Amino acid sequence: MNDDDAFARAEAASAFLDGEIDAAERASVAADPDAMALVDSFAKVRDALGAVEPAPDNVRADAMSAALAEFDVRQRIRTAPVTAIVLKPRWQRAYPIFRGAAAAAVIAVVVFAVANGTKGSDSKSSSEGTQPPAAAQQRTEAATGAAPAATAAPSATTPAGAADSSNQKLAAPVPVVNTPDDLRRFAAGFDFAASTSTGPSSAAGAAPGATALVPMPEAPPATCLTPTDTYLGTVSVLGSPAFAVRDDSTGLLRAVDPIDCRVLFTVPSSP
Amino acid sequence: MTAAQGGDRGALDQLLRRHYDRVHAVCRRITGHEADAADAAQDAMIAIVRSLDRFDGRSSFGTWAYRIATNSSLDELRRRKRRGAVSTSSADDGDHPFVEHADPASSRRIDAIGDHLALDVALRALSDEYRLPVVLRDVADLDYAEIAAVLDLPAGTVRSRIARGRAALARALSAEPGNQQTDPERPSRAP
Repeated sequence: MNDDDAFARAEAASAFLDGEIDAAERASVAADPDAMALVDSFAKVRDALGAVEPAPDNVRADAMSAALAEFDVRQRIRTAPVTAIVLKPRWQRAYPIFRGAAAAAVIAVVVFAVANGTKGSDSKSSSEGTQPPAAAQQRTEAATGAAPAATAAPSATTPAGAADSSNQKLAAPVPVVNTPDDLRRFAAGFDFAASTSTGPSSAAGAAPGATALVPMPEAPPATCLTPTDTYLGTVSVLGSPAFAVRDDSTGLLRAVDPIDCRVLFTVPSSP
Repeated sequence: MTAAQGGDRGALDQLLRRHYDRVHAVCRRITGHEADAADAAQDAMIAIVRSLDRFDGRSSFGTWAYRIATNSSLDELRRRKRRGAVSTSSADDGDHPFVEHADPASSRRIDAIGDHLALDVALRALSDEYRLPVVLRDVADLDYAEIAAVLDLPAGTVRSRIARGRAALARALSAEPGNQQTDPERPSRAP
């Protein structure tokens, strides 16, 4: 018998002992004395292996105590009241950060605006030069209402570039007075009956039909005015700054260059 | 089993007591050492409790428990190997019940110790490949299909390894001292 046959016999004998064998193989083993001798030998091995001394009582008790203690711990965990910790979505958890950042940004903008406003009030001309478009529009509308004749020209404002050269005030919208008739129309919006003295406020009466005062710029150089002149306001003459005055004694209207007091043109108050 | 899974401590206590001796025996045969077997069996009991909720009843509780015991024993062997404290004999274990007390039946016990020593030596000489299926069959009393499931082996392989392991043990136990040969690849032709 070769080794393969010996292995096959041992395997069959082992399976025979365990009852893990089919009927034909069982019959074959049972008919083979050598195979049955192997079965007996394996049975002795099985008995020897199975004859394990029971664990000492203290070892068994320790093992049982440890296992039951583990059980008790797990039961306590299982029956303990559950505190659910619901995590918000990530974006919700990050929301306070965004909220803080937004608040900081708003504060920064407010501080910046306040600081800018303070600086602007310190320098009136600077404030005028940086007023927002909405305010400029409001001023334009007010001027239009008080002196409708002055807005007859297509362009109601002086180009900013021309204004910058002489006076920051001219950055603001001013009526365009390019001709004597323009000046007359501009002056027609004023109520000269109430005017008794020179100065901006004296000419700031309500024009016929007007509901708003004409915003009067700062006063022109006093050297350009006579005691009987009434300052009407800053105008634009052919793109250059000028101021309009009315001589109450004669009723003549003048457009005057603010730099050298040169009279640009003169026209009677009424044609 | 169901009661134990449901949290019945008494049911669990009964279940564990019913299976402890067999679990310990499996551990004892796999580790070949009394103290290691005690540790492995205790670890197995704790692991059974921890895994109780995961037992789905597809196998018998015994099969499931012996699988855990086998793994605990192998873990214990690995720990022992790391410690490098391999005992050459279970008789040097201070807790061994046979060497603690002398009595009139001591001669029979000495013979028994000899048998145990021979068996332990023969088992230790077997690789896990053969020792585990033999122990699960002859100690845990699992059938081939259950052993195949525990060890994740084909049933045919289990049958072959059990036969070879038994043959090696039979040869070692029947041989004269100092002439033991437990290579399962060379089974004897006669018992």
